[in-house]
Amino acid sequence: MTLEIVIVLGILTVSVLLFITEWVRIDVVALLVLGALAVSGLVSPEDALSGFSSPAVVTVWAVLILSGALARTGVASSIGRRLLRLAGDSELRLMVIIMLTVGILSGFMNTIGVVSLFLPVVIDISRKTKQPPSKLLIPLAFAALLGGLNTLIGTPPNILITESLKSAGLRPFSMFEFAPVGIAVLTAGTIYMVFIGRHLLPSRDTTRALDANGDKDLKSIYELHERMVMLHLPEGSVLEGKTLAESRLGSVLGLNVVAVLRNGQTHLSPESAFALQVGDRLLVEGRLEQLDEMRRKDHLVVEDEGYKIERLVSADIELVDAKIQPGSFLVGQTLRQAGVRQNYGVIVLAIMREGTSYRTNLEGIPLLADDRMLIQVRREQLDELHETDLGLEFSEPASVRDYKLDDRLLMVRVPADSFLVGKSLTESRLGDSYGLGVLGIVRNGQTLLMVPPNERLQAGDTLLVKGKQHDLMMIEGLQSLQLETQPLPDLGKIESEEIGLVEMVLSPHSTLVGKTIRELNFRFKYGLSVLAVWSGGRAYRSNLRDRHLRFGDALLLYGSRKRLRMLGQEPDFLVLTEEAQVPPLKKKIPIALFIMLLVLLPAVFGWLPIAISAIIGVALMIITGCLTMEEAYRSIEWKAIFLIAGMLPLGIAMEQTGAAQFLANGMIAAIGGYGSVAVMAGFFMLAALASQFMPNPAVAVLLAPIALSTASDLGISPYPLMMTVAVSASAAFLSPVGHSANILVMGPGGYRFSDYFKVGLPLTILTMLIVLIVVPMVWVF
Amino acid sequence: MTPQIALTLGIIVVALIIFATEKLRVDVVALLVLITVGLTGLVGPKEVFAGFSNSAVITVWAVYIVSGGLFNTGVADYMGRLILRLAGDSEIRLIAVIMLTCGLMSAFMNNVGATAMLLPAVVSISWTTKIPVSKLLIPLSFSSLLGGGLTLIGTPANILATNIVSENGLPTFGFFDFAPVGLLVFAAGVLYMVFVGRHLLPVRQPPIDKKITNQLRSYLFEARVLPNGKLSGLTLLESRLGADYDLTVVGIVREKKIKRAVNRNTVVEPDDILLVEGSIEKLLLAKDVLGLIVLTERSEELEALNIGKDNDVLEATLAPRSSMVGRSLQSLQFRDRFGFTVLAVQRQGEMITKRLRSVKLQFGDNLLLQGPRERIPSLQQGNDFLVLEAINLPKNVKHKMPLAIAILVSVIGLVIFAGIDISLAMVMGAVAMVLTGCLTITEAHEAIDWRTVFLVAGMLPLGTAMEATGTARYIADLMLNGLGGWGPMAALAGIYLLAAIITQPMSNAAAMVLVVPIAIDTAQGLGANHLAFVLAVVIGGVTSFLTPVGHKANVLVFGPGGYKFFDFARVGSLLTVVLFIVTMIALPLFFPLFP
Repeated sequence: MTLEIVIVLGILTVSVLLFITEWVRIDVVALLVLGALAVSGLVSPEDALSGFSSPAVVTVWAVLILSGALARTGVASSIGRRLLRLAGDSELRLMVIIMLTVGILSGFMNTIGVVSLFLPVVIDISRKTKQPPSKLLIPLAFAALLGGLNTLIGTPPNILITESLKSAGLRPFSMFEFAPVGIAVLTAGTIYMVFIGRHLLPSRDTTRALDANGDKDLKSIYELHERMVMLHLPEGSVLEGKTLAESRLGSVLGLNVVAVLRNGQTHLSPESAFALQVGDRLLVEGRLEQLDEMRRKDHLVVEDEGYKIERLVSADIELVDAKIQPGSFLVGQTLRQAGVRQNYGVIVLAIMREGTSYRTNLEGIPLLADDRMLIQVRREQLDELHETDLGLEFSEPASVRDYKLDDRLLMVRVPADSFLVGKSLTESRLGDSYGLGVLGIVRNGQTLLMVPPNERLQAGDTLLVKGKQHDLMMIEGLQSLQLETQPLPDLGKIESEEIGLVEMVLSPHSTLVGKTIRELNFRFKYGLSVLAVWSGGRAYRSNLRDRHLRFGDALLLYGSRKRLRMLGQEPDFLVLTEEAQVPPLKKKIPIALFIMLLVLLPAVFGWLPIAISAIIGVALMIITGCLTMEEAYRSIEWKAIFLIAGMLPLGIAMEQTGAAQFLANGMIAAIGGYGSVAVMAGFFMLAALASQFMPNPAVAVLLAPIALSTASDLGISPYPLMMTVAVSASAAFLSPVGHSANILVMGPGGYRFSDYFKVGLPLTILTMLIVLIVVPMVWVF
Repeated sequence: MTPQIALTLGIIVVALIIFATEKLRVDVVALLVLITVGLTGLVGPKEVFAGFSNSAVITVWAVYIVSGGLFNTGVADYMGRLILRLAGDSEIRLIAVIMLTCGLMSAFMNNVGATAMLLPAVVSISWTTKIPVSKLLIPLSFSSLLGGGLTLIGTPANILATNIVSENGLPTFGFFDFAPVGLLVFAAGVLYMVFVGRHLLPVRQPPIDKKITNQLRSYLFEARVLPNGKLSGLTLLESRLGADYDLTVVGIVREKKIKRAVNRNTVVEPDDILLVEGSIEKLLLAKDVLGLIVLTERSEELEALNIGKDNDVLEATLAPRSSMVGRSLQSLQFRDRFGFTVLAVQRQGEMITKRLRSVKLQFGDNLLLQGPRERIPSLQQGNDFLVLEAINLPKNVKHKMPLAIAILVSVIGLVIFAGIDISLAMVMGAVAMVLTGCLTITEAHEAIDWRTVFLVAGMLPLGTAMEATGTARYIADLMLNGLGGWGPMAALAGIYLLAAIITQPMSNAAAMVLVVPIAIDTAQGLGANHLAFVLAVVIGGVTSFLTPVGHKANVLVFGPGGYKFFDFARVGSLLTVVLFIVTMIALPLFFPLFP
């Protein structure tokens, strides 16, 4: 073993570790591998980058674009729908037809594309036929994986294996050479799923819940009814005439208003500008603790008299006028962004701009040069500020009266039984939710100024606050809401023609993975409420706004159907009902089919390399308007492209340094003695295992040189081994993370990790047996 | 002329024609070129795709990612503040400082990126200093083009030219070899803009100016709802004012108070006064059917509409690679989604105010919006709009700015001192940006302008074919026969002009692929220094000042500056001449023609 081999194996080990631990994303790992190989000089810079122009990589992205065009024009879905119509309601026939349709299409499209195309269709079918989707979605994903084995372009490992044969100077596999094994495996897989796998698939109790109409009842799956309550707006409530946003039901109490019942009419999913009226009954969803606590107790009592602004000055605290100079870093920032209070210990009481005094909601106003701010600050802090270059000019306030603050200064008392007693200023949310700034606390006759936010309120405190009395009254309004004890109206009512509940998953190309719902401003932006998230086999209903979205999560959304359809047009989301899909360009179906034929024929007869004919297909698809160039770029899964292009140099290095030979020797020493079939079995198990935690193109890239070396050492034909590697690299049935098609169906199917193992293990063994029998029959050792 | 040369020339001519007619996108044309070159056998099967792993192409996308990291970590914010601090409010100093800053930035990141980053800052500077924005934005975009010529990575054209030279087995440019001539050209550009160009720039009030909002207001009509009319009690959506009459209700005056927060679910009440935007003809049609009285006297409430504190008029420009491009306001449900009403769309110097709902947005469109200030963040989220207000960034990434700059500096260091291939160093820089969290891998993928990458990768085989078939030499010989008699300077000037012309229909990166081989062969035919000739091509190709569509940076400032189409030619034509002269003088100084 040479030093070079050691380095290559080191890089290999580290990259496998990174793949398993998922510390960094797989495409970053691949780029790191590429960099490491080039810097260590194991491959030349040209070879390190050669992955990007490898015909295999070009073919992979060209096929992704073609597959995008087939989806966009509706070729796949119209074929699919026609076939599925044959199935009727029988579970058996449905499963067989889904698997065969998906399997065949997957031979010509990329795997994940087929699954995301059929996911909404299958969910709709399961709703119509009253079958739990968990019975159909794993078969869908597995069939797509199995079907990819049928052709050269069905899945990246096939393309990569073929390319590696070619670059070793051997005859490459032809377009349909994969078919004998592929068809055998797909057929056996379908039979297995129908007779055995079907019984191993879960049928979750929650998903069984079917309501009278026979619809799959999303509400009960997510156990929403437990958290629905009806609130009543009594006579004389100050909330009358206020919009939902002003009522602060959401921001203070964390409640989602699902519907407003008024005069026998139901206003579903009201917008934030919806104005409340006395007598309204609000159907809300959320935790009631906050409201309960608030309703039982008193809050704050407004004293009759306000106070004079001079009270805010003491021995060590003063009021100062600060003028913003042009060029100050504050220009264009809001107080919140600049963190003026946290970073500089300054409380801004008012801002004077062109003769107008702004007194409330100051935090969000972008500052301009020449604004004057009235600030409250400690004397020693002020000295420090003079030293720092803030671009502020401090002066004695010429006339505090100019700021017209007096009618905004209120004194409020905290009564003994107030729900605020014992809470810190931050917890009281007086600032965030009610827009009240606490400037001082009078406690036991002493006035505390510039109170730290963690100060706890005590019974009998009198607070010096800045704000509108009106805002304070809103608390009373919330307290006045009455909880209704009557049984809730039929929950079915919360769905109607215009308003609906629907499930959504992040699409495979989504850019939103890892973001929270709050960051996305979901309700604001799309006008839809997220009621629950289904993740890793259970439903989550609390603190949804701060959950990080993961690929494979299913979200239950509620809102107007039109909005739901609008969401379906966004490339980031996959809305799980057919009506929300982007309408396909049906007119182009014949053109797209014809172009597909033009791509396949020259490749089948060997007139052109597949990379060239695929690119010609891409250009034709775009020129004929089957999809735009933008859509083409979007349908390329760059993650996979960078992964393959980055890992290919490692394959080259393994070959050039003899690391492949070294590993092959190890393989032969271990199992070579038991015959060629045993070697095949060894490769199958190795690849199938590796593909559970490594991306399967990477498995193919790394095992191909080892398989080639092994074959030449044993003096047997390389084709059976290479075919074995291609099939087994795609046999990622054991866990959801093995392939993104598996993850995609996880949320909507409500699957757990173990479900994949239970159903997938027998299928993996079955696939291995078929490969071991069929492959040596087609390609003789 | 061999048949192969004729074939290559034929492909070039057809490609140029398709580029010029703009029937197909440039990257699609490039793919077609690649296919044609491959099918005709002008290049071998290996070389057809070689463009995708060409060191220049890799560098181009890696630079996009590194630029994205700089962008994300708030370099723009910092630079904007720096400009303001240095410049004060003198117009001359401001123009100079803006140009220097932007030039410096675009020397190390991509030009459109640098322009987009500084655009909001410059617009807000123009407000504080009261200097018309039209005096500042053309200098901004021009300086990004000029600054791109300072380093090897400044523009894709530089990267490509360097790479093509080295692939010919000739000594090529180092990282800062562009700098001496680049600096002279840049300085000439700045001086020109400060002393001459400034006076040629138009004084255009930005559209947000009071006067124009007044003018826009004339498109607003008021209509009172008759108590017995059809509209009472309907929501705006149900009223179908939008769907049937293309009218938009921007506000409702009710009980003497103006209500601006209207949306599709707002219910119309009897005697409401609707503030309606749209064509008067349509309104007249609607009034009889729906029971409206069109008011001729403008009420005071309407005057108050634009003065309201919480309802501002502001501008937003479509960002480069915005996902809104090609979609209509209607299909975007713009008002519901963002809470702003679009008052007008400004495109290529024209103000579109009619049938806004069906206007398909284009890159460079400037939207005049009205709506609540607190919803501005919803526009700033994502990379779709550049809101022309002072920019703000999430705080947490700001402290990573030194890190991002450090990564850039170490990449440059690796190239200069460790002699690592620029493409590899840039890829490692990109990976470092992702690993240190300066940007996420998804943002990294989004930062890449695939159009440029595919354009260059597709055109490169044609460049290979030009050399392999002798087409480049053939054209070079033609040039030498024509101009050779006038001396090497004439040939140099000829090459410069050839690049300047070819770059007009296609992007400058693609032009490099075609013209650099010719330049090399011309230089070798003369026995002259090839670097001088290649540099002439780069400078000639990069400086497109004549039209707003010549370069994306120009498109970007077109709308916000309120420019007209020929403003660019007026300022730019003289600049082009100046730069030509400066280059012709400077090139032989730093790259002697006959060393």
